[in-house]
Amino acid sequence: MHIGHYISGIGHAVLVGWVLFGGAMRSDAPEVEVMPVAMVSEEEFAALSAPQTGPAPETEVAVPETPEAEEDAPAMQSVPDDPVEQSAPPESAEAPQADDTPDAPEAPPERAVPETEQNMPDMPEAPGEDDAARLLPAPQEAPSAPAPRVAPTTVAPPDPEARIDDEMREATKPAEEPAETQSEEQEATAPEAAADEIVTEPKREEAAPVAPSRSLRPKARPSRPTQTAESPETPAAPDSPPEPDREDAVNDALAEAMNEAGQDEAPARPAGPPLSRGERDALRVAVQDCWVVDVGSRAADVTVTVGLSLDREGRVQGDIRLISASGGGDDAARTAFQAARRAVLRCQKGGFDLPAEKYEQWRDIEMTFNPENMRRK
Amino acid sequence: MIRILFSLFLLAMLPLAQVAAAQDGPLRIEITEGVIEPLPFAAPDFVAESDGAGDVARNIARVVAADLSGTGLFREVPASAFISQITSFASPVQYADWKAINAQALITGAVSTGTDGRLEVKFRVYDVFAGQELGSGLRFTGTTEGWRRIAHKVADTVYSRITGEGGYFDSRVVFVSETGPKDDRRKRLAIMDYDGANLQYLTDSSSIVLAPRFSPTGDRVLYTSYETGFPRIFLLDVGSVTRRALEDQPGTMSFAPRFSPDGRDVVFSIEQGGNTDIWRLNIESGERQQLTYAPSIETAPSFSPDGNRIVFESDRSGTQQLYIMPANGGEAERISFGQGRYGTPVWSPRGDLIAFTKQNKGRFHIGVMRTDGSEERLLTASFLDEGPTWAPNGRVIMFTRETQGATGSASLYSVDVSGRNLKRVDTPGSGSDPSWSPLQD
Repeated sequence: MHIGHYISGIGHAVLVGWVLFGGAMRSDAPEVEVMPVAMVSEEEFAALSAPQTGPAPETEVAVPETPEAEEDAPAMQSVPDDPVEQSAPPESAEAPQADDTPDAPEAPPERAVPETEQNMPDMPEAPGEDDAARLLPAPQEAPSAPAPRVAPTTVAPPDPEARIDDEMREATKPAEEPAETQSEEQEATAPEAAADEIVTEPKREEAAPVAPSRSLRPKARPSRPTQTAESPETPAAPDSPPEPDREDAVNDALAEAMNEAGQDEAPARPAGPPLSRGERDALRVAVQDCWVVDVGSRAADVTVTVGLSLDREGRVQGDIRLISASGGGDDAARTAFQAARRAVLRCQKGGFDLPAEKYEQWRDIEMTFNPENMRRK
Repeated sequence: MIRILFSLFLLAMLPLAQVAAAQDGPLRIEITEGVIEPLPFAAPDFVAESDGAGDVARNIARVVAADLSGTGLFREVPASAFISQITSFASPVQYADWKAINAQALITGAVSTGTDGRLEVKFRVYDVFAGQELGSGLRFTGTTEGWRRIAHKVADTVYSRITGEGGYFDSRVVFVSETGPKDDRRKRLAIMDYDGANLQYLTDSSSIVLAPRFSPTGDRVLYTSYETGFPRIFLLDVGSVTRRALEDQPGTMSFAPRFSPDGRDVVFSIEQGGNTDIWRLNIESGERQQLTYAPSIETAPSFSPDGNRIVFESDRSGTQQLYIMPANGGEAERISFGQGRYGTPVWSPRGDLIAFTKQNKGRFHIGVMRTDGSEERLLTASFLDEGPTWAPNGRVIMFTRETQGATGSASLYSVDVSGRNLKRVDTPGSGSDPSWSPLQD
């Protein structure tokens, strides 16, 4: 029996030492240490609950062998009970960390928070920018807390969109009046839901002109403007019920803002999403398969850029024009241009395979033929 | 932590996303890889517009097609694939029919013979896929016997319009025609069209002749003959086939001559007292000027196209290497630094490259390098390749290839400067030491 206790004592001592040294090793990274130690200690507590029944033999066994085992052993036992006071004196810096581990669920967030907070200043900027493209309306609404007020009222918006658009115009007009008295109504009748709802509409209208630059969905409702354009001609809005008017007014204000944004951005860039890398590569490969390069000629020293327009079938419309040429004389440039033109015309066949929904993106193309790599072959 | 990393990742990706989304103006594509393959063309038989011109019309079209196909840059679409036929030189081209057979270029022509027996050949070149003519129609006239030259000129024009560079089909090659076994080889000068046609002999086989070199105008030939027992330089008039010794100093050996770009001077080597140096001689006045004085072997001089510099070979460094010096002599600059021995340098008509023979590890190569020695490229490799000469457009190199063994013989080969289209030049019997003429007038 003594031998058994002896062996078990040594085993425990080894485990305790391993845990302690493991904790010491983790001291390099304070954040990481806290989490794993907490996990290990709980498991070991369950495993060590039985051996705790024999603390007396430990005292007996601990003496003969190594004093380190004695120091480590009580430290381990102290952890489940009150670890801080017992283990703190022997092992200065390492012990307190282990002591903190039982409180780990609270401690780690405290240590992690400052670190994350240090990184957070970067974080809020990043999401702010990211969200700017997607979620800018949300951050604007958040500070004034109109969302909770509006939310209960907008519970039942599923109605035909045409009605909503018509109501929009009317809702915005009355909204301007309360907008002038925002401060009075907000301050005096803050608890009243109706007044708050009315106030929120002008707020969103005011926010609307700001929204266009951030919203990314100008295309989502291109047809609405036409509908709304018709709506003012036919003033059927007054017949609509009041509640949906307010709800629709909010939605319409946003829709107007989105539409205005779409109208503002439309002329600046080609509509629709840009071609994906794969789609661009497919076009490039289609042309390069027909681009015959005479590597021994002076034309192989010339880089030419040609411009062309495609119809919706992907076929060249009109002439292919030389935009620029560099690296050779006129004859070489003319030859290089002819080779580039042949490449495009040969490989278009029935039309380049391009996504029809992105036609605006590939209607006009500038292709640069650079034979530099070919000269090495 | 993961959130932080993810946020940083989003931050890094944001500019890329914005760039991708910000496609202002047209879609821009850069193409850096193409294909290296012959350009398909169609050359239907030329239309015979007069009685008796049918054979000539057909033959001219065949020579034109052979010239273009022989470059390795073009591939003829066989007539059996034609959908439409050219029955009239003036009728419009049905581009769709030629597109369907993937003919990227179309050559049409017509031939007629006048009452005076002169031949008139007119032709047009079309870019089929562009649906337009390349350049405008052109007409050549000449004797009926000279129909091949007319065909070569047509081919040169077509080549030039498609590639943007000058052709080389209407040119000739002078070379050493060889007969007999290696131990009793008989040599004489011969001249032929670049494609081996119209072969003529300029000398008999009574004495050994070496290294003929065309004059810049193609009407004279310099060569070295052993008819006196020692190598001597002779100047031969191609038209009259008359010759005279150009350099005859007792006790010396003169060899490796080459014209200056203006045709007035000749640079060559003189061996005297065991030392070989390069000299320059004015043909009319006979004035001589020694250009090198090194106690080593300097030979194989070749002028740059502008006549300002001379490239030559020398073993002054201990091994045979290439050097460049001013045309009137002076300090030479070594340009070859690779392994092996370099010799027989020839300056390209374009002026951008120097062709040479290289011997390394028991193999011979024809190679080219920039005039500063950079970008050395070996175009061939065999038991024995030597003596490169440039086509008039600087695009093709012809040289001598000799096979191994007692039964081995020398032949003329040509290779594109890109290293492609290596092929044997058709000559009757064996041939060596080719020299390519300029384009004929």
